[in-house]
Amino acid sequence: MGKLTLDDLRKMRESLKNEMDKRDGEKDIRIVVGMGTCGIAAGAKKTLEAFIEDLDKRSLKNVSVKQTGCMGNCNVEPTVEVFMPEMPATLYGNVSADVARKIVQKHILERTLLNDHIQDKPSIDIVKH
Amino acid sequence: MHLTLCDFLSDIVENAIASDATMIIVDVIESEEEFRFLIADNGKGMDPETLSKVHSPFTTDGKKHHRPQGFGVSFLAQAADHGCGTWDIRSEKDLGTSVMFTFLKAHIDTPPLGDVTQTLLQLLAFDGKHDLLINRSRKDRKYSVLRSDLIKTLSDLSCAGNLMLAKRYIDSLEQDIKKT
Repeated sequence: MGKLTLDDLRKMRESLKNEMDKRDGEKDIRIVVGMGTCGIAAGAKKTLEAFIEDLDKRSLKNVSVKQTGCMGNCNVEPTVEVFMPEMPATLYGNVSADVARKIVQKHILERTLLNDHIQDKPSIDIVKH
Repeated sequence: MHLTLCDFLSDIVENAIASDATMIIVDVIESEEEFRFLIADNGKGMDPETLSKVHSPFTTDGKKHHRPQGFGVSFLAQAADHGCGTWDIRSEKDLGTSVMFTFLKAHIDTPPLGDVTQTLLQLLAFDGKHDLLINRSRKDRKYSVLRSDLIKTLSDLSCAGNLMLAKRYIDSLEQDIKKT
């Protein structure tokens, strides 16, 4: 593959646009990967990449993949929050690249929770001190 | 603990984004002898007292999580102080912060560089109103990517399809400078 220019990129985007416009519903699905010091140290960049590649491969191209800082669950990094209609907002912990692909398959496509990876937010009395 | 030099870069750039900067400039320079990283932002900066404690793993502004939390600089300092690298941080309140770090390629304690394409994509995709200019050079070849150009071209940098296109674009630039 040769060196691409911004013009090439614009053309690639335009050829993708029609396909993406048909799948407008996916815009309501949002994945947020924790990318603080703790997340990065635990390999969150690989998790982020796995989400982007897997969603693209499965033609879920309109799903949002975002990043945030430390979410306060440093012990179970990488952490990922998934928001989508008709499913509870869910925080997953220990999300390796493999688990990321499972989240796409189970949570997003099959609408089933991955029980082994669900985390609760730290309770208020722990966070206070 | 971070595995690669790119992990240190991600960590420092996240601080720059969190500092309410409107412009961040990142240089990733690779010469025969060393890797050199420069991260400069025009964010809120730090007063001399905070700056003097920045390498401590427990320094925090206390506004998040209500418990001691570092800036991630301690990991960088720990790695560089093994003798394989140098680091420097300068900051002025309300003006901005600049961080520089270098690692010798030949030193046995230097961490691996890591995946540059993946890291640049991650940095460019990080949410915010800031702009980000990345200058990457390797020996006598170089390329630059401006976040606002990428967003203008793709119209949005958050959906998986566009992120994958951006990755292909960055990867083609990265492969190009690796040609001998």
